[in-house]
Amino acid sequence: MNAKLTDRIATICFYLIAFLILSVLAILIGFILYQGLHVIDWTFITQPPGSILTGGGGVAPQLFNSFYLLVLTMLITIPIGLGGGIYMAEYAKPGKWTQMIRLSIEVLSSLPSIVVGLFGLLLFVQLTGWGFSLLSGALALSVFNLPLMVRVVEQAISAVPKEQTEASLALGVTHWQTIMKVILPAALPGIITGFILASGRVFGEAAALLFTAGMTSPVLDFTNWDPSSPTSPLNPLRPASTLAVHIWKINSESIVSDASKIAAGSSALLIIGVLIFNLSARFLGQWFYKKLTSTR
Amino acid sequence: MTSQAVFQFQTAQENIHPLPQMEQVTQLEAKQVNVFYGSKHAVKDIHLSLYKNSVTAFIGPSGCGKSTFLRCLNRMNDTIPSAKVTGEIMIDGINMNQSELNATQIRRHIGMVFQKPNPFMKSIFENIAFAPRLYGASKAECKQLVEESLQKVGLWDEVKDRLHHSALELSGGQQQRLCIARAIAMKPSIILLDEPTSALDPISTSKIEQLILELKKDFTIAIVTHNMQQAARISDYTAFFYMGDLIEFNHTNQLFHQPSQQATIDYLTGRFG
Ligand SMILES: Nc1ncnc2c1ncn2[C@@H]1O[C@H](COP(=O)(O)OP(=O)(O)OP(=O)(O)O)[C@@H](O)[C@H]1O
Ligand SMILES: [Mg+2]
Repeated sequence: MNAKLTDRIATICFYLIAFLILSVLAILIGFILYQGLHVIDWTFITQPPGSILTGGGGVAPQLFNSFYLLVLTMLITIPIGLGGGIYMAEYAKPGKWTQMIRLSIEVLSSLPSIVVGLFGLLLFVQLTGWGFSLLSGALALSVFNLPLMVRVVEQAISAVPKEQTEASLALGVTHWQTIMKVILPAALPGIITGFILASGRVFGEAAALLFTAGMTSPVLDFTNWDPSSPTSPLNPLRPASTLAVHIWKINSESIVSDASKIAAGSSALLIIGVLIFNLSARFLGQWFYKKLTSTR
Repeated sequence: MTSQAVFQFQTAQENIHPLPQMEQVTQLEAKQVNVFYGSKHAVKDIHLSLYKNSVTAFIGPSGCGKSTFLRCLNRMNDTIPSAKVTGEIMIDGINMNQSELNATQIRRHIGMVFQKPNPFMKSIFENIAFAPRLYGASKAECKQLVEESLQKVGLWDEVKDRLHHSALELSGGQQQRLCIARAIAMKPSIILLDEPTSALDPISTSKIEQLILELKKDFTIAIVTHNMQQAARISDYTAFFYMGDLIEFNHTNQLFHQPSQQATIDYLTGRFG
């Protein structure tokens, strides 16, 4: 077989694989949107679920919970992720200790999320005595999310050309100042892209939340912004079901008449949310990169 | 080829009297400097002085330790975990090569320019103002420093209307001059250049050579180069390195016209390297 023909065949194979992946994605998204999009209307995203008897209503609390939980999780994981990533990329010296940290991160990131959920149930729900709560859920999601965040930061920092660091150190700038003012700004597009992608993952996670944030939401009063009040949406110690958990719950044990409709609408909403995270990750990353490297 | 070939090099000193011995003020003196990368002995027992307001060229075949030695002079080898530097590097009577002395503070006074232009991914203005600001320069001082340094490297007229554009928009030669401007904005006493023109076109190269001759009025300069014509054109002293040893160190025209070591003759006549 000559080289040209081999090249041809290989190219066609790669195209086929790419096409296969694309079509799986397109069919999946198309199907979910087709099923659910017509369910989504203003009522669906602004109203709480209706009663068991009447059905109807929306998923407003679940939608809010998903975002709120994401914010709480990010508040916990961004600082730790940044710190861990900076440590791994800039300070960790090759050796046993670093190897052990790396191994731990890998193991942590490959834990099934249901296991993280059960661990959260023991530690953040029972041991702390908080019960099912947003905070417990956020902590469990943090366990689940942290390895990814550390890796994102480490990789983004390692991708900054070594010459940048050298240039800074050679000017008599300290290592710490170099990290803060030269390396991190240059790594920012990568870090932001990674964080948003991680957000998409957190946003859609269900298994880790079943036993930590719980499967129910109390009746919420969206005019009450006092975080200590039990009916306030901001109260971190109240139970909360997210969109993803809601889908699972509705599909598996709900007896409302329009369960499948609600599940379809919620799924579509969830997919749209995740898509927005993914697309915005791309655009924000590119935008930051442009801002950093060209005209401002 | 005979050793006649060495005479073909034009040297900058040809029509100028070499500096009289007594006017040479030593700016830096390296004594018994050795560098090890792990067990590899990369620089061996080097004794060499840099003289104030002069240009010293480091020449020698690839891998002979020029960069490694140069990086000792501003403690940049500290940043390589496997590198170990022994010996003394005396500046103003103080040995800079002691771990008790803060390398950061030393680097502030000894600028460095690298082979590949490496401007920060920041604006032209920020590239220069960045380090002085960390050392307490005010806004007005920064502005002045930026203009002053860019003037000195002949870049001001080319970039004064786009100071806040990214430095990455500049051409390679402009970037390298920006890197030199960035180094002199710290007002160092010594500037180390590691093959600063090897990535540049001939016109940019000649601009930087002119600039180096200009800069030696204010600074002491050491430059690593593979281009022997360049060493001959711009340097006052030349040090020839070979396999980690300093083989010969002399006035540039002396070294090029009357090399005393066989290895130097072989290198200059192109028998290796
Ligand atoms: N970081 C490092 N770790 C281990 N060995 C190194 C390192 N840097 C340089 N060396 C070795 O030390 C020796 C001297 O290298 P150096 O870079 O100083 O040479 P050079 O004279 O600058 O060469 P060139 O002209 O190619 O730049 C070489 O044998 C090189 O392989
Ligand atoms: Mg070198």
